[in-house]
Amino acid sequence: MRTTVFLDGKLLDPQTGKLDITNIVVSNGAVIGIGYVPDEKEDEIEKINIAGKWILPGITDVNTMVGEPGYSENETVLSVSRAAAHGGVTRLIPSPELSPQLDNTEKLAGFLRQFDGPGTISVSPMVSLMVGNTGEEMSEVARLKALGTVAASDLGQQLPAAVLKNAYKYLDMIQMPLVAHPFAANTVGRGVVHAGDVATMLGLPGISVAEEVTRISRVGEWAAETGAAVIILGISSARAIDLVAHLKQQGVRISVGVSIQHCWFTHQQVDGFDVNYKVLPPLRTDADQAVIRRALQDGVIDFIYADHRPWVLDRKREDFCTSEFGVSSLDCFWPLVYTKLVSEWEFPPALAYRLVSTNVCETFGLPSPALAIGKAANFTVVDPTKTETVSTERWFSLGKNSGYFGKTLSGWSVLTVVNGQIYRF
Amino acid sequence: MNWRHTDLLGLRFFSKAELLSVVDQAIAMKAVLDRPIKQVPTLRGRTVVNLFFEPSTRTRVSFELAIKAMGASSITISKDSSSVKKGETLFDTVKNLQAMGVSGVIIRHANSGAPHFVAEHLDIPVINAGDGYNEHPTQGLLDLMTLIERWGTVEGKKILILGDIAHSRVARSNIWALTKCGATVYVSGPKSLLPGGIEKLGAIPVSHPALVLPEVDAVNVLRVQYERQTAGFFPSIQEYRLLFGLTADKLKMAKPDLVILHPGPMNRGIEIDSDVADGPQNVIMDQVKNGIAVRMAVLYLLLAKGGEQ
Repeated sequence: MRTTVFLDGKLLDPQTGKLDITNIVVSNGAVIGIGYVPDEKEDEIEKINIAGKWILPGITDVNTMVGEPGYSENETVLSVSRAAAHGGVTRLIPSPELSPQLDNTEKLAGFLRQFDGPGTISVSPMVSLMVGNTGEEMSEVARLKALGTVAASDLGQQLPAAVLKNAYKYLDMIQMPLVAHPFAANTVGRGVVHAGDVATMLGLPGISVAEEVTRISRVGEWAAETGAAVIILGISSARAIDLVAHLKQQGVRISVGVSIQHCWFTHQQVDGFDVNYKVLPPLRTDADQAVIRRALQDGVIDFIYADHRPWVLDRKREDFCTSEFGVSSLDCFWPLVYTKLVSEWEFPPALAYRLVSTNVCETFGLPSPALAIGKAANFTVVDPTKTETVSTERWFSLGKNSGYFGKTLSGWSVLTVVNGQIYRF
Repeated sequence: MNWRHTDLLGLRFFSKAELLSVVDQAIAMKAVLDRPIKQVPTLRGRTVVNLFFEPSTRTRVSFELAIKAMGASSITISKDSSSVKKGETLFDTVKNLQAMGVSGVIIRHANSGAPHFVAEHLDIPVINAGDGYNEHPTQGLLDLMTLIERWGTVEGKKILILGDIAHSRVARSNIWALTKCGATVYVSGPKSLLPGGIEKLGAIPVSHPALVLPEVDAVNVLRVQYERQTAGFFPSIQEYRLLFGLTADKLKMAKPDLVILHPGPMNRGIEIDSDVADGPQNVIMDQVKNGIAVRMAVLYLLLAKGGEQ
């Protein structure tokens, strides 16, 4: 097997933020050396000079819509893998919202086989907590865990109290967190935007902050009573963040992720009826965004995810109310995080990095993404000075539903290494 | 003046001068409606499509008459008679109409923003005949015209919009048009139907109509829909009438020359009492006639004037 040496890159220490110049040696998909150049004949070694570039191990995205099985018009395993690599991501925790929905071992095995071949990204699966859409029967979560499942999702459905309580206890027994979405397209009623002055101005049905807070409170209280762990996917309001901070102070095992869209945009963007700002939870106010920013700094929000929801053109080429929720964002995920958090908000790069890597792994019980000898080679080589305007021409996701086109971002990946496969950009 | 609009989506983006120029144009058009032959040849040979995805009698007929009066022909398509019922998207429907060579599209839709979406994808003029709870710009214009006819100007006048503000596109178009033209606009209705942030549009919310009735020069009474009661916005039609209906009793506290508008269709005995609706202060039939004139003016400005550029 061919050996590749990545020469003179700067490896980011996630804790200290120090950038240590080093060499990474990769062979057979794994890291076989850090810091030295192997003594082999020149023609058996490929040397890639990455001087001045940063090495960021194991950026992980959560709840990614991977399209297959069932929705290959929106995304495919190959397109999402390429989009992820382009966005600097080496691992996905995909959404189980597929057709069929991931709720048994057979479906999960079939799902995972899709990611066996070349050109595919690493995945750690999430499954549906309940079998089917009826919400009556729990999925065989322990057997699913044996296949690598890291979490069980409520898919945004409001489960009856008894079901929720039992599910928490059972999941706690097998040490698997519950993923709870405050909202889903089918539980949000007619609401399409934040219930605020933009909704009033445009006459659009709103989604209240109170709704978000009570839904998070409900799953949070059951987590408190059962002692189980819950991960909130999708938080958007200052009041919900206050609630989470309060629960965390009390020792409730609650973690929370915010989508990158909520760092970039507010409900003001909806003025003009642009469907690329129709997301769940809805984009809220400047004041909410300021609290999101602070919560990312002080650790109340644990991680950031792309909330990648690619849609085939037809599904977004509708009027605002009719069009689907969600945007395609995976292709520029790390540049979005870098440009907003590091360049604009002046976060330390190590903090921005932790929010999309180590924090995600800790939340979902995955091993540390740090590079180590013998472990799979999963890292991104980014050029913090590489500035590019987001365009459909360099966009690998099938979903072109994005408000980011035309934005100039920095920190793009030049190489993304997934299990030793090298994607060059 | 220089006409810069290619579509009529809402009055929010119109300046005072533009609003007044449409009204001037409409007043000129109204003369045509008083002639024995109510037609000018301005838009002869053109075809305008009325795309009504929501039921409507008044607005649809008014647009059809305006199109005919301008010498154009009209085709009216309702939701049930269109291929939307067969699952065709709005995008495909309007693209097909454009390909067939129609000169303009008038659209009414239950979703706010639907006309904006259509306008984004078509090169021909798009006229909003009411979208969700957003705007009903020709209604706003005809209300403005009716008041200007009555007073000469709305500058310095005080107007109360009464009823279901939350679900009213008439309210929003009225607020934009009247405040831009220098009037003070109050809005009142059950608090459950007064949306938060309405003051950002320039209106002043008041909790009860009695608080401003003695000082206002006009009341625009909005239709209240029965389904709002079953959805829990207020407990009963009777209680609604008592608190927010324009009754003869409430009228006693108003100025004697108060002007009463209603966009129709009216629920007599609910938001407005019959004797009030038929009383000397109402301008409801003027509104109906002005509606045709305003729509003629809009068609002229978008189709004829726009075509010259």
